[in-house]
Amino acid sequence: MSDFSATTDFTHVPFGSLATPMSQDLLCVQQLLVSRGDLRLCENVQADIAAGQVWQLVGENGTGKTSMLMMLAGILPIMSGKLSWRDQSPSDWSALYIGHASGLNTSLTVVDNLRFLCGLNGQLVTADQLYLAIEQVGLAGYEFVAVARLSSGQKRRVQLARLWLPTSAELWLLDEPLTALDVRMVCALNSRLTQHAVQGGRVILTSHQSVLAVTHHLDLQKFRLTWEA
Amino acid sequence: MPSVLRRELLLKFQTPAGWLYPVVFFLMVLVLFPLAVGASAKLLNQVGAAAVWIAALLAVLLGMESLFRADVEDGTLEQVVVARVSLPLWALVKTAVHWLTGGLLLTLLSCLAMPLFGLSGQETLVLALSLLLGTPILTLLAALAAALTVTLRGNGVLLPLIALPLQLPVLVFATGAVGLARDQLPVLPVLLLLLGLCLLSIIVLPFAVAMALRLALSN
Repeated sequence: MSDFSATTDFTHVPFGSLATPMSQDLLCVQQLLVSRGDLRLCENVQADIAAGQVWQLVGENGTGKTSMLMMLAGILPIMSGKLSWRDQSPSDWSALYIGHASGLNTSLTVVDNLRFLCGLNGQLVTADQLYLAIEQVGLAGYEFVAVARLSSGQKRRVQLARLWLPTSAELWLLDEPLTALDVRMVCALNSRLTQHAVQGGRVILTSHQSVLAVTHHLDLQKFRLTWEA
Repeated sequence: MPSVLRRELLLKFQTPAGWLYPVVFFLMVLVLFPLAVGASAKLLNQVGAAAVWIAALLAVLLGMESLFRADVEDGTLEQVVVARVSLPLWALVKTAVHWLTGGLLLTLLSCLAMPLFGLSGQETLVLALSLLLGTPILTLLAALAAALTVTLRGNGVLLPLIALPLQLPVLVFATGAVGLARDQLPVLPVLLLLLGLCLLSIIVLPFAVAMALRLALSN
């Protein structure tokens, strides 16, 4: 943060540039306290996430998987411990976050929702790219349908369509991306995640199912804080 | 920011019932009040400005409950935070679009007070100006209350309780200005005071709203 000029060279490293030494380009989770509000969930969480890796956060319900993802996205503040990547903190780096809440307004159409989310992130997306992405998640023909009229699986697909749009975010944070998806979409998602990882991106996701594309697991259960009387 | 503006306008366009309701409420009070008071022209003229302003105050409060509700619940706010968009600016754009379909319409409709309450041209002008300068303050203060109560169930009750005490001075100054106009006294100082308050709230309140929204996210 303080020496920003030195770090700007790193922020626009194109995908596939694995030439940079891995050790310099780690997303480090150090002694992180995962908490939500005044609820302390996990402590001393450690992980080093390199380019090309797909991480899955595992743990029982309420272990803090979603909270940790929200901390990585810069939505929740960090109370103790450190998250760092290229000398930046979560509130500075760019990430593609697909959360539990859809981020879709139900009275707007599929296209309008996606266009808003892209515009918000400063992504310049052409209409063709937009329609192609919608087609790739199997929603061709639903472009101008209000999201309220879609099934929950289809809503999830609209969210995931952002992964098929050109994005500058190397870090993908996906909260339960498999929920409500059918088998075919799960396959498509797996191959998309693998493709992103191969191109030098990194993915952190939470899921209670096994995900083929995952290369590393982080078991939050080990760091869980037990309730003391 | 253009995409935020576009979305807000699109949403207002697609769900007109939400913002038309307060406007219609305002219109109804304006029309019914003279009918209820009766034919006393002097009395109507005296209470006109107060009636219009109280109706405007309540109409502004009426539509505010849902300002941030949908965006917090459907995760849009999270996406705004992740996109590193300035949260105060986002809140300001949202509130401004809301004002366009609320406060601005009330200001335009307030001209009806001229025939309905028998106000003079100058009184009507001062009334409209006071609404033009006052409703942005009312809207921003109500937006702050809406942001503070967004995670609570039934925030419709709490919102006016938080917003009304803060909005009271605006009501006092604005109706005072129309009173001065009726007595042929200079109104400019009061209007300038309202202008100052209006600018101050535009600069300061979005930051307070953003802080309240961040609090809502971390719970």
